[in-house]
Parts: sequence; C-alpha cells; structure tokens
Amino acid sequence: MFDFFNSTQTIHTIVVLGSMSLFAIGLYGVFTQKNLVKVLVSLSMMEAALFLFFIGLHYKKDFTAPIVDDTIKTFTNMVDPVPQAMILTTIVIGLAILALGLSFGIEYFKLTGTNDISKMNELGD
Amino acid sequence: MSLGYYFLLPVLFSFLTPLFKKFGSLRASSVLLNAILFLQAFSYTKIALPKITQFSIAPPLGIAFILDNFSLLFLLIFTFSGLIVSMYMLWYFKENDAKHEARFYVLFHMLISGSIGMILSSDIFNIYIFFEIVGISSYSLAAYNKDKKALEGGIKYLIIGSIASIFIVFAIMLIYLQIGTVNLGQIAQRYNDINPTVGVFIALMLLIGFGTKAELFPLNFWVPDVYQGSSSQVAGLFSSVVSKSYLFVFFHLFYLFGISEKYMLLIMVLGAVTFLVSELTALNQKDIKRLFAYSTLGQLGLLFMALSSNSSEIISGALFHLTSHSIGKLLIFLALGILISKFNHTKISIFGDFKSKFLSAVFIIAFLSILGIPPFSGFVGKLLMLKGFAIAGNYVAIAFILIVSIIEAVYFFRLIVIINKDNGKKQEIKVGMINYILLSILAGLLILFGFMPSLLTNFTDLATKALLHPELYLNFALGGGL
Repeated sequence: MFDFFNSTQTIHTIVVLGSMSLFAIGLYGVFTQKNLVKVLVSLSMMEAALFLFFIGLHYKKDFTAPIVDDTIKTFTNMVDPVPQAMILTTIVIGLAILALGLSFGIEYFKLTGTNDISKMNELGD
Repeated sequence: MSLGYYFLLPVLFSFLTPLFKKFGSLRASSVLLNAILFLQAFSYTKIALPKITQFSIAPPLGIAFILDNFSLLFLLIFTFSGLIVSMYMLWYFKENDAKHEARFYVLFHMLISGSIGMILSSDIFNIYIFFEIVGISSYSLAAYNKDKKALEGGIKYLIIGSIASIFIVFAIMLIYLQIGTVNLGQIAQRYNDINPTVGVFIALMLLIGFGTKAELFPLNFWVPDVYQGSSSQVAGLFSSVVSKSYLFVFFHLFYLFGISEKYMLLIMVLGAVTFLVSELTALNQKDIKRLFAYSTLGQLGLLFMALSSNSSEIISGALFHLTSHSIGKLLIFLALGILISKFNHTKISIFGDFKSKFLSAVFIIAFLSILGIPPFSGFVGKLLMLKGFAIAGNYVAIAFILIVSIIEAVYFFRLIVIINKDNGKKQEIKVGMINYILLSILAGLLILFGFMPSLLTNFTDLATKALLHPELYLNFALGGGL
C-alpha cells in the first residue's frame, strides 16, 4: 500500500501541488501586505516554492547522488546534478537580495519610524 | 584580450576599491579602467566576429561568452557610457560630498560588469546571474543618497525587481525541465520540442521578467519613482546602460528562439502603448527627473515597437535611434547634474534659473536630437525607422509615430522656451573644465552622426544582420567556433 505513496509519480504530484500553492501564497502576500518585512518574507516564500518545485521534480525513486568512488563503476541510476548546482546559486542570490532589502528597511525605519509600504509616497509631483 | 576580462576586470576593481582609495588614486584608476575597456572594445570593430571565449570546458557543456556584431554595438555603448560617467565623477566628487565615494565606485563597476556580462553570456543561467548582479547594484545605486526619496525608490525597485527575477528563474526552470539544457544554442535548436502549453508559460514569464526590467507597459510604473529618487548621473546610467542591457537580452532571446508572429504583434502593440502613454504622462510632469524618466520610457516603447518588427530596415534604424538616444539621455542627465548640484531642487523651473550659453546649447542639441529634428543624429534614426515601416507597408505605424512625436515635441519645446526666457533671476553657472570636454564630446557625437550617418549605419547594418540571422552565433554557442 505504501508503494503508491513512495512512487516517483505520486511524489512529483505532491511536489507540484505543494510548491505551487506556496508560490500562490507568496504572490498573494507580495501584493497585499503593507509591512516591508512581510513583503520580503513573501518574496522569500515564492523563491522557496520554486526551489522545492525544481529539486522535487528531479527526484527519482532509488536513484543516488552522482558521486563516483571505487565501488561504483557505472553511471546508471544517478540523478542530474545540474539542478542542485543551479538552485544553490539561486539561494545565494536570493539571500543577498533579502539582506539588501532588510537593510533598506532598517535605514528607512531610522529616518521615518515606519515600514509601511502604503505610506511611502514621498516621490511624485 | 579574452572576453572574460570585460566583466572580470570591473568586478576585480570593485573588490579592490578600498585599496585604490587608500592610495588615493581611486577616481583616476576608474577612468583608466573604463578607458581600457572602451578602447579594447573599439578594436573589435576591425576584426571579423563572432569571437568566443570558453571557460575550462567547451560549449555546449561548459560556460562560454560570445561577442557578435549585435552585442558589439551594445558593448561599445556600455563601455563608452562607463568611460563618460567615470570622467564625470572626477568633477562630481570635487563639487559634492565625497565621503562615501568608495561605495559609489564599488556599485558603479558592478553595474558595468553585470551589463557587459549579460550581453556576452551564451547561456541563459549565466544571463540570470548577471541580471541579478545588475539588479543588486542598481537597487543600491538608486538608494545611494540614503535620504527618504532615495530609499523609497530603492525599496520599490527592489521589490519589483525581485518579482521579475523570480519569474525569470521560473522560466529557466521550465526550459530545463522540458529540454534539459541552459545553453542558448541548444535551446534555440530544440525550442520546438517544448510542449506548446508550457511554451506559452515560458514566453509569458520571460515577457514579464524582462519586460518589467526593460520598462515595458504595463510593468513600468516603478520607473519614474526610481529615476526621481536617484542622483542624476545614476539616472543617466539607468537610462543609457541598464534599460538597454535588458532590452538587448529580451530581443536576443526573442530572435534566437524564433518567437511566432502572434507574440511579435503583441510586443509591437505593447511598445506602441508604452510610447503613447508615457509621452502623454510626460506632458504634465513638474519634476524634471520624472519628466525625463517618462521620456526614456517613451523612447524605449518606440524601440520595442521597431525592434519586434522582424524587418532589417526598421531594426537598423531602431539600433541607430537606440545609440543616439543613449548618447542624448546621458548628455541630458549629466548636464542636469551640474544644475542640480548648484540649485538643489528638481522642479522644471530649474531650466529658467541658469545662465550659460554652453549648457543651453548642449541641452537644446540633446532635446532636438531625441525629438528627431535635423541635422542631429536622432533625426536619421527616426527617418530610417519610418522608411523601413514604409517599405514594410505599415502606414498605421508611421502615422502613429509621427503623431506621438508631436506630443513629445510639446514638452521639449516648452523646456527650450523656459531655457531661453529671461525671468530676471538667472544666475551664472560654473561648468568646469572636465564637463566642457565631456558634454562637447557627447553633443559633438550627436551632430557628427547627424551629418555622417554612414559612420554608425555600418555598425547597425552588421548588428541587424547578426540579430536576424543568428546561424553563426548558434554555431559558436554549440561549440562549433573553437
């Protein structure tokens, strides 16, 4: 019975449904939240959803990491390592942007005492 | 010189900025670096292109950077703008507070490096990485002054920019899931293997991602805020380098993947709407930086309209117009910086306050050139574009461009009137030796290309050929050129 839940197909379905709902929650948060910190958290959620989506869809049952040592001579049943490398890079970039956004938020709070995006209307005619 | 140096040298320079600052030669070394990059880029006009540089593993598996005639035009514009701005900063930091100059130089070179990397990369994931390098440095440059306005612009830019980059990552992931590659050549080869439904999603996400950054309607609401909040030379960089680099990637991918007619029409309509709406909004702006931000948006809309036409005459004219717009907007923003540092406000009336024959002349040359009035270079670009549309039989587009140009003329001529009117409180303004040279070079180029368009049309024709017939580029991207 548990084979059904452990099959590649089922896990892919769960990954797609889960990550896309997380993505939708993040997108909703970006457009509805007023607090800058909450907006940045929503952005991180969208990014995390994409990471789960991409890594999850490259999961294959019984496949191993592509590490070659003396005992492994063939290259069968290994997952594609490129997605992991790409996601690792994207995580670092996402972290940099999050840090930059928070530092902007701190500077803005020091000047005005608020982090409310709807009150940011200094610009304009 | 290996193509890698174009983005590695500026990055290295920004990491070594504290060292240069300690030995007191930061500003001069920045000029030297940008001069080297520009002269080296100029030397490529003499040799046959494309040129390829690979890193350790040969493409399509490894990372490669390719320079073809299309990217050469942009490389020249970017390195030239970098050189001009770095020389302008010699004056700027002498007149203004130079306490945080190191911060500016770090971000400025990151920006140049990212833009150049973005146009040279031949794989879509590297394009994304450079996209983010440009993104992070331009968010910080927008917030450079650290006052309320600057931070507000920076925060808005950061949020919108992050959403755009998330959509681009999504598109890249879908492409990788479908065809298992990030190399541009391989994607172009197998683009038709993509499931049509997923293909629509990919095209839509790339459109949202790059459209937001390249300031396409309706995703460009953040642009005026960012331009208004940032200092004038930074706004000049945004207008002549950053937006152009996103525009490059957009149309490079567009023609490499062979997007269908339907999307071309969509982009053309979006470009036309951008052009019309921005010029109409520009009419009643009271802040001078906002006005030029809307004017930039309008010109970018025109470029979107012309570049998506798939006809070599129109595209050649559009690239001509793009070059003269880059030069003209850089000229306007740099000259505006001189006024703002003297009068400390950004209302339109600033143009009535100064008395300087030289500054008035360069402003008027730049305005007329962007408007497309002979004998300046903007005229030739617009004429070539209209000629192309006439050959293609698209008379609606001709009428549309001419009508919107009249709207554009209204506010530019209003500015010229303000400059020339004697309101009794005009003040003498000191321009400075470096600025005399810089602004004369820029204005001189606008006049030169107006009288001798063949100097530039040689490049734009080659660039158009490389854009519309990318077979040679694809061959190099697949590793055939090694």
